[in-house]
Amino acid sequence: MQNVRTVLAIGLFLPGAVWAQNVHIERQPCKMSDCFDFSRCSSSKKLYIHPMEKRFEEQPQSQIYTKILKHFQESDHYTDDPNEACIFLLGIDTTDRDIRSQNYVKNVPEYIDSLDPAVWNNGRNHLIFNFYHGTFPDYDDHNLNFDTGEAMIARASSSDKNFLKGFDISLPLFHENHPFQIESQLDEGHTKNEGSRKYLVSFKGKRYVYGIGSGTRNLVHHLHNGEDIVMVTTCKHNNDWQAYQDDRCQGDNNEYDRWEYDDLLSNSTFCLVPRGRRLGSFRFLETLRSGCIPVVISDSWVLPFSETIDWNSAVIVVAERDALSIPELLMSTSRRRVNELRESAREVYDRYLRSIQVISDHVLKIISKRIDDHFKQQHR
Amino acid sequence: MAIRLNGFRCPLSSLRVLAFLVIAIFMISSIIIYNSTFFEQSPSWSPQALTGRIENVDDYDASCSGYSVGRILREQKRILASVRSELVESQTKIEEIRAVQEELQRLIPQKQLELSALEGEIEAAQRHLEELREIQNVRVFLPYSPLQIKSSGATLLPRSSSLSFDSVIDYSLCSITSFMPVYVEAITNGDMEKEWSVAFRNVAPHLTEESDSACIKIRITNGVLPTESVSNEILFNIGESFGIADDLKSIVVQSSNLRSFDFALQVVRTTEKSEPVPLLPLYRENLIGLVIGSNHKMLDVSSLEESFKKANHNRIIQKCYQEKTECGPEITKRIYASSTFCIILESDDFLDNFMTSLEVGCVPVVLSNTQQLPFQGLIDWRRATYRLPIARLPEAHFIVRSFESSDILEMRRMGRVYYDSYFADRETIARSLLAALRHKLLIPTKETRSSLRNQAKPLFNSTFTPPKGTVVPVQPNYDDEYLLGPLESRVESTSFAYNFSEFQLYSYDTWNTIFSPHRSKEFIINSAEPPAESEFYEDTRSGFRPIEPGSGVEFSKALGGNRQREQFTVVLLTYERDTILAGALERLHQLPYLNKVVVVWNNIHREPPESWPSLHVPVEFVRVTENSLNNRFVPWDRIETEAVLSLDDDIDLFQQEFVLAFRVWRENRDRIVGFPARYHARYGDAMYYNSNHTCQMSMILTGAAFIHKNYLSAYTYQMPAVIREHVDSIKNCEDIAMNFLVSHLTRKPPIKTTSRWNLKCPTCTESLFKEDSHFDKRHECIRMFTKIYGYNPLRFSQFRADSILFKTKVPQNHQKCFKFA
Repeated sequence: MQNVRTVLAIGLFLPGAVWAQNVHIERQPCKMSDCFDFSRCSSSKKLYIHPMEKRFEEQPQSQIYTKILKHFQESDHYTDDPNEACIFLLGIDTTDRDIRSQNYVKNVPEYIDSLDPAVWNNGRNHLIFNFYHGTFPDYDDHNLNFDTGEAMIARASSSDKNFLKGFDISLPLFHENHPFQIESQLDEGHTKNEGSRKYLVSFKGKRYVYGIGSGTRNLVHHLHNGEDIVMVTTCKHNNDWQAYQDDRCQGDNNEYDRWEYDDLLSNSTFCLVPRGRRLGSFRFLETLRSGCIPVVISDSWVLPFSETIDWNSAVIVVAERDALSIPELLMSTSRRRVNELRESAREVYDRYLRSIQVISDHVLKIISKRIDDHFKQQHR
Repeated sequence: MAIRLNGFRCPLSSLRVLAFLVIAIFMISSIIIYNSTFFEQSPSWSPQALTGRIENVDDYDASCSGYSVGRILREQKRILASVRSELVESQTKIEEIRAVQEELQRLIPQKQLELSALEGEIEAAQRHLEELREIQNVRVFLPYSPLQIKSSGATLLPRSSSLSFDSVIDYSLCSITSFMPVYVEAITNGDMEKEWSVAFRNVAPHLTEESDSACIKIRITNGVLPTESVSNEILFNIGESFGIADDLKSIVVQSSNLRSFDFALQVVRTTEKSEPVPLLPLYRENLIGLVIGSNHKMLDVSSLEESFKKANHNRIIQKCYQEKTECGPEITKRIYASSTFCIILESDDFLDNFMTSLEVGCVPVVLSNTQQLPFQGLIDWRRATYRLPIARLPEAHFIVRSFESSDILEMRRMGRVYYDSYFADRETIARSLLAALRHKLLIPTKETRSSLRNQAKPLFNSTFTPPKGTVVPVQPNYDDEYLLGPLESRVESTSFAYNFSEFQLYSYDTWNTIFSPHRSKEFIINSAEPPAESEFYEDTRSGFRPIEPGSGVEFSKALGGNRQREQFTVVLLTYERDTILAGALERLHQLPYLNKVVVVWNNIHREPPESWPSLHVPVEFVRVTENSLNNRFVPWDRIETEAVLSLDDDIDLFQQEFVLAFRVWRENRDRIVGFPARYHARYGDAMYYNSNHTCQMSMILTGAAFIHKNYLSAYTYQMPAVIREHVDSIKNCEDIAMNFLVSHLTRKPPIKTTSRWNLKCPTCTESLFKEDSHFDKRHECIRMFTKIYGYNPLRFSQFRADSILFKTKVPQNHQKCFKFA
């Protein structure tokens, strides 16, 4: 009841302009066969980036998109002749489509209108990158507030209800200081069998006293035993958390400060990765990087690069309603299995997720594979 | 959920192994049978056997994870317990919330009922308000057109005649220095004539027995017109009005049938002075009382009645032309006494009705623009009555309904004051008539400062000043900085300066504000002040003491102000406190602007000591015949200034405080300006006198106050005698009486100066003040005086007067006006 009240209270602050800008466009249910022009890619898989014009630049482009574009521009695939290109990218930053965010770019529709229609071609063969969609309160609106037409969307935090399987590409969420380029760590001969770590499973994060995403995080305190299972949460998020705090907050906040985040990551066998406001989180990549096996609690989330990666061998996925059985589950996981998972996780991270370059490359690889499959099929 | 346990690998198939297996199975089964026979009853492969073997669940790591089953179970139990307790907590919380919700649910219908009840009340109140507004909205009716007014009867218009006032008066007998000799004669015989005769004789300022040299001959007649008429004759008709021939040379005084220069007076009246009807409460049983005589029987009052019925107001319309209707002066008086407004129509009884209406405090609404009102050239009847042409009778209701309640009360009050001052009894009427004649003839009365009534008798055999004077040690009455004021020679205030201007320039005030037109005035309180800069012109310069530009120093050197300079007289009343009196006198030494000190010696039973402090001004002792507190308010002829500082003998104030109060008084000459502030307050049902500290006062005690000498005259000669008698009988309240009088005449509160509250000198012990009954008497005085006046004339004030630079930061080269005030 308190949640409803607080949500209503916050809801009163919504300016009307928010709704005015919300362009509800139904996305076409695209398939590669329908919405992709393979003929352009018969000879080569070149990539063209639409130029960005000064008049559309409201603010500096986000670091992540800049780095992605930079990587593509420096790659061999890049061409500056649109007629040659197989895949097209937009010069304007579409990575943050949360209307309330400071990084939200308002004039994407105008930018698209300004493009040569022959080149834009209603988004055909275009690849749009997006990390954040939807806004308060439920962050579920997969709408990007502009007409993507027939473009493929490489997106994070997608729900399987909205994800166009085989057409869209699911991305992980990462910080802008995720390494741009880093050497593979796999061949450095680290020990295969690490041995058991101090903590079985751990989690340190925000609790979201109200609103979406608070369900699982609010009950992990039951699992905390202070010894080998460490689940600490804090109520402090946003400026107004004190208005919505409950009786546990004081104790929780105190316990929270006793544990170090990085220390937990590197000394835990498993790391809890529950959903936050959105289905995906930075935590996923962070746990993978530190060699901790992710325990994903995020119903209907399409895990990153699910087209290529079999995540069941690298992570444990638990339904949100089964969260309380996690200790039993994890304690029943044999040491052998743990090692298997750990190995797979490390490998997956290294091969597909270790740097922005690698991630971007893999996106192209996925598309490339689709193209190849298409032509293979055609030849049969 | 994908749980992957350890899987089994498929066994190899070979013959050797098969044989081995058969033997193995045989052996195993025999061991099992052996075990079960020798050790256990139950088969050893049963779960109980298995669990029995395992001593400690904690040892059993079922899934090779490093965690024993026991550990897992314990962990789950702990989690379960934690979840259970949270569940219990949540359930309690839910219960609480549910209880609150039920409570609120229960309240909702109740609150809704209350809300609808309140809404109903608001609606009802609004409807009621609308109804009230309806009632208050008196409809306006159209006035009569001339055809509709049918009034028969003798026209009462003052008839124009060939004669005028100037043609019937022989001015050679009435020189302005003659003091208007009056000769009184009764033409007809009767008791009434005798009484009137006596009245005139008593009040005439200058009576003469020689009719030939008299300026005014009063001939009292009872309805009989004399055969020959002489000039300078006043025919005072105390009977039925008679018709007057146009060429009648006498001036007639009667109630009707008058020419323009005759006097309208109702003299056929009982002459007992009745107790005034109290001013409050405002509204009476009827809004309007109307008596219609036979000469107005054609008058159509239907619209008036309709208007009243609609508005639900009470009224009495007494149609005396109808048979079986009670009529008569008593009935009229009763009707008028129960009405707020009295509509009076032109008739023979007009003046009688008019006077009755004033007497009982009913505001007369005169339905005639031509009917002559008594002394209407001198008395401003607009302050007490309302005149309407008779054609506006249908609109009269609307008009009177529109008056503000304070206006109605003021009209009622003025009506009563006029009645008391000019028409209350025979002597009053006679005096008023003679005063009116004097005003018309412009003849002042013979006046000197001292008359029989206020001539002071010296205390010391033949001198007022004591034979021996002690030298008062000169107290420096100044600071190092400056003098308090110049010690100039004595100067009296100009007196009797308005003998002729009184009849015209000041006639309005004389008749309508001060209500004393009977004698020429020694002073006029609010006489015209010269305009600013008069002091710089040669011909208007004299008497001024302008203050040079500057601050304190220049201020102390001169009196300044808006008038010529003047001084004040201290009047001290003393009884049995000689030493204290001596101290008080000493403190007055070298007081600037002091003209004289008059000491009223109330110790009638003993002679005074011979030696008294000798001041820079004369100190005169006055002998009185009675030990009366009223003696302090006798306008002794020894007082030569307009300003009188009435002091108790035990007052201890700084000289500069007196000077400040004197300066304040000079700007407010018609008010009491002094130091001790008191007030009246209501507790429960009655009014009480109160001397506690207050922020709203209504009286200044005359133990230390400046009063104009005219108020001493008013107190002694004009104020109802019964008040003075009461003061004598209880030996108290003379100051309350003076405050009542001044507030009644001016309708203004007194002014308090300086912050001093307790003024008694520290060493003075004896006083009237100390008696317990002191306050009881004073409460009683307030109530009694209110009854005598018919209302409480006191007015509140919430401020006091200090000098301009009091409590002001002044720059270096400026000084304060006074050091302490």
